[in-house]
Amino acid sequence: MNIRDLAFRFLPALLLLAFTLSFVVTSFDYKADTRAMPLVIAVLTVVLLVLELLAQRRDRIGEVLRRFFTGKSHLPVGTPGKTPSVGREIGAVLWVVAFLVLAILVGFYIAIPVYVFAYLAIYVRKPPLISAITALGIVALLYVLFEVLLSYPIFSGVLFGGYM
Amino acid sequence: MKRKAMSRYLMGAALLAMSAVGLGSAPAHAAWPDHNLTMIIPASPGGGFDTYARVLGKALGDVLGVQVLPDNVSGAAGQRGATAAYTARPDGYTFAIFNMPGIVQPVLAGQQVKYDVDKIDWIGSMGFEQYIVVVAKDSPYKTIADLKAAGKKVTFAAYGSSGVAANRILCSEVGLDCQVISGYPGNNDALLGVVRGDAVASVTPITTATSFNTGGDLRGLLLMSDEFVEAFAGTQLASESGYPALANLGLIRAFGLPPGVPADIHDALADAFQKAMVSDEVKQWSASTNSPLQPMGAAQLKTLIAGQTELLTKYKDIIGTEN
Amino acid sequence: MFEAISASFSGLIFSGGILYLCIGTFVGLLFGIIPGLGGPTALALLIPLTFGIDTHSSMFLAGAIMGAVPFGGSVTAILINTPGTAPNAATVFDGYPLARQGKAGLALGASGAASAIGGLLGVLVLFAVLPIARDVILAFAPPEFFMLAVLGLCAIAVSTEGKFLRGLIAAGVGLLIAAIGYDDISGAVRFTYGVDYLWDGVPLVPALIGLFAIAQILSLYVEGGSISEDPGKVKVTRVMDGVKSVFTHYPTLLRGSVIGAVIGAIPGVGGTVAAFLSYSTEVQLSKEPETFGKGNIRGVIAPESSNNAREGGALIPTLAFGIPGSAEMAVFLGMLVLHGLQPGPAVLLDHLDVVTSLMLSLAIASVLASVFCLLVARQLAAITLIDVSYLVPIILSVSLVGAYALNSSMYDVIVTVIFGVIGYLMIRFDYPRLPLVIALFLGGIVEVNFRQSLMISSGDWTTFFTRSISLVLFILIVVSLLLPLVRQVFKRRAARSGKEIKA
Repeated sequence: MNIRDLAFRFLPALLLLAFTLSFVVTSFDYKADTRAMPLVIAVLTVVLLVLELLAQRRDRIGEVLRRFFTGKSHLPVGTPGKTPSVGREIGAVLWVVAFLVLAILVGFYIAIPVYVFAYLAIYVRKPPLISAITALGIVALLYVLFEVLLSYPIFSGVLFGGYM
Repeated sequence: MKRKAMSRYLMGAALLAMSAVGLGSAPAHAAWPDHNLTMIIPASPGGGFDTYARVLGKALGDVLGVQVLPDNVSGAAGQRGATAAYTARPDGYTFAIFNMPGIVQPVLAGQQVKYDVDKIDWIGSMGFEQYIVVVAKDSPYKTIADLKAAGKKVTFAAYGSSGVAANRILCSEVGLDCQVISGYPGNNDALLGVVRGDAVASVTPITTATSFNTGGDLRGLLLMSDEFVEAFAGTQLASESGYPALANLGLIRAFGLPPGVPADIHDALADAFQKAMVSDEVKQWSASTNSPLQPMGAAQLKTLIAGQTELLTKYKDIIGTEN
Repeated sequence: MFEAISASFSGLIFSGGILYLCIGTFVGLLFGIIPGLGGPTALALLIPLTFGIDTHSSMFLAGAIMGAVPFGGSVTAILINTPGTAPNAATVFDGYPLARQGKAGLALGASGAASAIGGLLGVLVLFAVLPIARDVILAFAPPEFFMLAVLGLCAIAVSTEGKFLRGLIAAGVGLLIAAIGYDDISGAVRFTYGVDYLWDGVPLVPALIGLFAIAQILSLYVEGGSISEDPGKVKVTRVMDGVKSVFTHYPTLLRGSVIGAVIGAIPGVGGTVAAFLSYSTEVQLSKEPETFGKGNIRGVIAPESSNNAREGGALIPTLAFGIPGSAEMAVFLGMLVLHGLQPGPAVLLDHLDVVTSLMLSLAIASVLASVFCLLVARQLAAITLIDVSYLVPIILSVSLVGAYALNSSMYDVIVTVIFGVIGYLMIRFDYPRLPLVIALFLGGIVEVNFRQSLMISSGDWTTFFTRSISLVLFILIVVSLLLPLVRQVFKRRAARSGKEIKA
């Protein structure tokens, strides 16, 4: 029983539990009929999450619950299929976030070619020429669609006075 | 069309390049307008404010000789759009249609907003849309007095926060014991609610009621206005029934600039606005769609806004409470 | 009526209507394909253009867009697991598994034919219902809307991919997220934790783009390779088989179309319910429900036929009462008004020719879009063979711009990315995403109509069961929840008596 296995089994439900409980707590700030529906749902979700946590235990209760809800009592260790490396996953998210930040700063028409080229040429090592063509191709397509055909202004970046 | 857009782009790109190297700060507004204007609409496309703004925008563009590009910044009950317009660069190239009383209500309810209604540089208004109280055509109630005499809780169907406020203000001004049924996704939905019997009555903009009523499903009970309306002939006026204050309530389709726009640009825009309002295009649209126009200059608009703010302030507590 | 129809036809053929129809179809397809953009955006952007052209031609343009968008949206749903427009969310259930199995051509063919025929049937239903439209609309009030939305929520039960408990948890969380923001009934603002942006709640379409497109990008990035599991196996030539499958499964097609047209005609529920409802109906009526979600072609036909049929139905409340039956109808309504057509019962009497033009273009565009896409389906299906390295940046840039264009808001783009991460984590930790999506769609409708019903009845709970339509819907809900259980019991018994019988 290693930490990764434990995290994989319990962490999602624990995080969701925290999220749901925050709704339970906050809902008491509101009047009765305003909070009724969310509160009922939050409480039900808490019950479901507790069941889920119990179902992840490697004991008799867990086994019974698993059989009841999924028809299978077997609890796999780790992710189904091949387990991707956590580092690669964080990298994937960082690329997306970096693009988002760039787009917020300088707008889409600059962020897109920069990101696409950087990603293709530097990160996945595609030939620079093909990377550049892809990068410019996408931005040209979007540009023609929005600015030329539709006169629809696309965000130009906070640095250039765009309104978020 | 394409060519126009292309040249606009080149100009835009040039400007972008200029501002990027820090040259864009020189306010060369001698030749205003030398490029397209942006008109912020604080609502999603398709609604009343959007329709009015787009019609005006097109006519205004014809007067000014540049395009007026509508930019729908919807969300947070119009607050996002109002904020965007208020904080826009005051160079005369960005203006907006504002939703009165939509932008005042949150202030009265004690919320923090990022604009100051008093500082908006008003250029004029397209119209002042007043309310009417309607019931279903087979309803036993014929006047507002009948409703009062009913001696029980009267249900009102309402859409949106302005709608709920209007219904409540009517009830307290008249002294009705009422229950406002809120949550309808649109004014027409609320009126449909009256027709199918969800609620007894509804306070709704006169134009909405007029266009909904082409089938004759509704009957007017009280016009919250000083003028009669053809479509609801025979309906009592607010002053006739002894509630003259109700005629102050209404939606104002007001246009304004962010604070700090040079006076000459303000005047040029206000001038163009008045010209656009009397253009054939706008008049024709108004006539063919039954959309009322009441062109108003900046001064007149300011007085109207002040009057309405006063009425709303009086009912601040009613507006602020939850349903 | 016939005069109006012939006037429309002559407008179509002699006054350039066909040109606008083709432009509209093309724009509709394009906007449908790009995640985030959809019918509402396309129509809103084209409104200023229609100033310059006459009413008939604008109707051809608008009708063509509305007819073509649903099919465009299914293309991305099938090929990259990302619904191009919100109502296509139900199509990813089975469309994407088919693409992974190398049967993208089959799925596209089925989706195209189902869209085309669904669109035609929807217009037929519209013609048939027009005389009694008023009574149909007035028969549905908040209690019925509530029951319909709950019926839609029942689709959660069939969308959990065998992870029932986690599916319910995802749905619960989805309903909570749907509660964020301005409460239409009480006017209170809930769960925004001081963030102004959340006033309007978590925006649906950006969340959807995140959960599907961005999550898909992240997992493609992590996995590498191509979308199709075994590129050598792909047969993009099976498009015609897909078209044929629609005819062999004609009961599915008919059910989907009727559900779509009817739900579309009822204002206040929204078209997305229709797609989920026809999908779950299909699963529940099927003798082998376990094959759904793994690439059953009927899982593509049902939602797609209902999506196109819905547009026909949604015209009814829009024209008769000025109440939009779907998001694009709301924008379309503005366009009608701009052209001097005040929606209301009078439109059907005074401007019948305009209405028939619209219906005609809806019908023709549904077919035209499908034919057009089927011609290039081979090329489209080849997307699933492309090296993922190229797909990742392309999908990412296009979908984030799409998320922005919806409301001109960068905050929407941020929401998209956040939901992208959530979506990826859900894939990674084995939580089904569709229950979350269904709950996000229906949470608001369920709550508002529930509370409205009680306000109207002055707190009397029996209002849900004393109104006949509401009661019928309630019975349908009970049946649809019990049916799988009953079936399960029978199956277990059968399995016990003869162990060789496979599920």
